[in-house]
Amino acid sequence: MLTVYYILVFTFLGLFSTSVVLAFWWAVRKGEFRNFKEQAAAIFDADEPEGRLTDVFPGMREVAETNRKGAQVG
Amino acid sequence: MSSIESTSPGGAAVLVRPATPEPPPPEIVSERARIDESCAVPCLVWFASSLFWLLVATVFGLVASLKLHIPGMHAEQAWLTFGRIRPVHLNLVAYGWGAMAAIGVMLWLMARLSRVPLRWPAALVFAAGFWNLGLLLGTIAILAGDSQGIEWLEFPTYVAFLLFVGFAITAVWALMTFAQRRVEHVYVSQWYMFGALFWFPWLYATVQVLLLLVPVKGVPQAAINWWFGHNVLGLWFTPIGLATAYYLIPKVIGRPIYSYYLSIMGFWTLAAFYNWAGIHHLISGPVPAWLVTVSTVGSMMMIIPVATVAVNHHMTMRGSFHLLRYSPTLRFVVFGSMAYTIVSLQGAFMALRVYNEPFHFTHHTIGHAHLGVYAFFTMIMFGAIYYIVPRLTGREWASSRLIKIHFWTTAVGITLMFLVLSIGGMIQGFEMNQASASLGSLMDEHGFFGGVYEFFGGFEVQNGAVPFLDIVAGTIPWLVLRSLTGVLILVGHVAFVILVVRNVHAWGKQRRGGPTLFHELPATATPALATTTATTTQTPAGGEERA
Repeated sequence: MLTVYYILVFTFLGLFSTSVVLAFWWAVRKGEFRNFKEQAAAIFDADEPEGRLTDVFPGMREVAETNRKGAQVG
Repeated sequence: MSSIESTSPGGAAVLVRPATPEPPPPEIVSERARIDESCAVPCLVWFASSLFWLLVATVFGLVASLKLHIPGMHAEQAWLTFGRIRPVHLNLVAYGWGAMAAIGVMLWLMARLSRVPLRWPAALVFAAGFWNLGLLLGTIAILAGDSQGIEWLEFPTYVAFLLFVGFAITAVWALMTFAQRRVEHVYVSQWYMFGALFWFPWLYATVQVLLLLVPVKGVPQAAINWWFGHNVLGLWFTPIGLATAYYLIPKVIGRPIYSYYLSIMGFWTLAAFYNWAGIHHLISGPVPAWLVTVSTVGSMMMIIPVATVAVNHHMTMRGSFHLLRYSPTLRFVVFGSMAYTIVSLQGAFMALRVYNEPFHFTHHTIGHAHLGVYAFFTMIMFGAIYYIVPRLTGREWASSRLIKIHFWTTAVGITLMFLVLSIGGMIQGFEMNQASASLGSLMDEHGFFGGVYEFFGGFEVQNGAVPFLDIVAGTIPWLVLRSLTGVLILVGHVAFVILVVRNVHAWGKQRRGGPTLFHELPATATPALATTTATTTQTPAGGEERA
């Protein structure tokens, strides 16, 4: 039984470590560790752009409407 | 995009109007609407289920808490005894509320970040069905006395199978969405989600095999149990919570992360160090000292990823903290992020023998666990649901007041619960390990401050000097206070559920447009659930209301 455990544990340990190394290698090759400034802004687009507050309490009309018309949050 | 930015004298950013507002191109609005439409049904099913289990788990948690200071309550009913109620609370919080909310948020985030709609969303509803069936059977099994008796793993193995099927479907869907992505770059939130998708089945499968299917014997059982118990927090809930925070904080305030480099470093260091932690739960136990030491070192190394997150979130929010007044999502997520820093640093130091030994069998540890699962993870999930649901239903939240009730009851409730359990547990630990007398008796003898000084400052180590029953009795006031904080939290949960139900079913006065900045959607791209709403009318303020 002990042998089965050893095989199980070390097989999965090997698979796990290999997959981590592969993921890291893939990230390096794909340039995931370059152009950090651009990458940080990847979540914004013309619909929900930088500088816009995109969540406001209902009822806070003034702030919300200011933003709806394209106001900027510095 | 034209913009005018302004900074107040104190450095805080202020809202100003741009010279020429520019509406977004229709195809961009349509793309966002299509993605949200595809997520609507599956995400809402996962969210609705998570909220149902949250309410059930809260009630079980409250009953368990009450039973700690009213032990005779329902004592004659076997299924209502503490040994069954408490595991139900734990498992429903972890696999019911926590996991289901996490999966709902993850599916939406993955679609949004990949910029593609979810394909065949019905399969994700099917997966939720498997998951819910597993939770129902697991809860019944524990209440009926068919618990596995291993903390965090009380559900029977047939339940694990159902959870696996549900998880496998959602994981495949998330990966498929990623594979079809329309953007090359992998945002940091996606890295965290990949980690979670990969780590959770690995952890859960390992413990199922080694503890339940082909159980190891003796001490390794405890080591594996605590490796899982600790890592399910750090490698499942933590990455999902951080993925959400890394998306929502910059998105809500409209400013990119302060340092993307730090965020990536935080992910890879978490991946490298967290897995080593867990065995420090067995300090002073019958496990090899080197194993505990390795775990302690792993815990201390976690200060690196925690620091990267803390610095990054704080610097991103710098100058924008006043926006917490306006955004419910931001309130919850920033609260959760701050709690993450506190709980992680506390956790690192709790792995040190000098801190761990006096407190590891006390309520102090329970306070730490609640700080992690609730103040950090749960609050971020609340914030995410506040952000996501209006975009799925096309309807604004119905009541600001209920949102504020939800925030303040849960924020105050969990803060007080943490303080009460931490202080009560600290006193309990000192009395069990090194105090010369109980705190109460020292206060009687030396007065309030003199008693506190003698208790904490005396350091006259007399292990076992305080009778155990006196120590137990001394915890009762703290446990009563803990139950009161639980009531506060329950009130918050009820308020939240009312809000979600009203939003999804369009009950009562509803708002559309305005606060969450919806742009007018093309007629073909209206979110699926919004088609059930009545006609909206423009209000003078520019928002839309309907009755």
